[in-house]
Amino acid sequence: MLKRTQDPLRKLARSSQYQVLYVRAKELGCIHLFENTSDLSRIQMEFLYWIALYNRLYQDLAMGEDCLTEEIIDDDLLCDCYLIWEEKVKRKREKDSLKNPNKYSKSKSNKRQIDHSASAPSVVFTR
Amino acid sequence: MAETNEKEKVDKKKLLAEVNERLKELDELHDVEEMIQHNTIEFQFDTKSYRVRKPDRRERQELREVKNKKKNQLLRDPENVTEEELVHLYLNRAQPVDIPKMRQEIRTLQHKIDQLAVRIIDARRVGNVNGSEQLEKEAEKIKYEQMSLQYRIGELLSTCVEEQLKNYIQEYLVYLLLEEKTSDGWHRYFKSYDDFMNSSDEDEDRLIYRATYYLSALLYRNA
Repeated sequence: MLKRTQDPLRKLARSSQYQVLYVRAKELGCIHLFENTSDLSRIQMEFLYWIALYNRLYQDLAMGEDCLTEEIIDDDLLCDCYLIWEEKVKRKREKDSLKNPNKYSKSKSNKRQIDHSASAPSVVFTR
Repeated sequence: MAETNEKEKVDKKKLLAEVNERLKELDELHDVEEMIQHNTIEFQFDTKSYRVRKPDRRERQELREVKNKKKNQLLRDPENVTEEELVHLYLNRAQPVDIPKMRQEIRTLQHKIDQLAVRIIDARRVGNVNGSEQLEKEAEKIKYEQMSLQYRIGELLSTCVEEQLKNYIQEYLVYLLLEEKTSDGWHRYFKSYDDFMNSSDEDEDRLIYRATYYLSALLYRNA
């Protein structure tokens, strides 16, 4: 694989340490990611954007999302490409589903189902 | 035997380079972690502690006032030109420089990157890693082209009123928000804007450079 420079902010946002912290902060509410809880700086807001995005990608990965891999998540360029690809594919699917609603409502998704009622975390970090 | 030693040496060299790289990465991550902890950034410079922070309401008001004042002052000077005027000036030169066309080119390049992105993921989907890596190189090349164009536009427009105003505000922010830790708490490092402008010390320049870097993370940071 090509060795590329990665944005340290994105690297930190996708680290298992911060991903766990983010999930716990969302679940418990009393855990904070930053010392300040309001008046966030620009870099903090950007960090929140990335941490939420990577959280969503890790969830998609755990659900067996089509062509998403850990290698893609770990590389800024590949991840950007995936997001563009996802946007285009989604838009195409939406258009198709408007034209042919039966095809998409009947076909079964290949995503793994998540049990939302279970108390165990739905995402397992492999690293 | 000699061959084995040589191989071990090379391996150790490679290992050392990898360790150094990893340490550099950890340093970078640590720096960023420090920067996101709070909406103020504390840093050490020549054994002293400094910090930059977000402006409060009063300071924001002060910034707005000095910005308006400076803008009017710049516009009053007939020597100064706005961005729009400068774009026209470049366009009407004997050897024209077409900035709107350059901006259009940036958008076209972005469109190419988007198309490549889809092809990269499609290649990965079918397990064609080599093909994907080739396309990734192409995408990186286009990104570089895009950045070069952006940089060139920035350079061409650096003298316009808008850019002068931006630079002025950046300097003013450093004067306003750089603080030094003393025995009785945090205090503004520069007592006045003139004090800031008159600083000619080389160390002070380095301090200003670092403060500007941290301030841009707090207020502007662009991915």
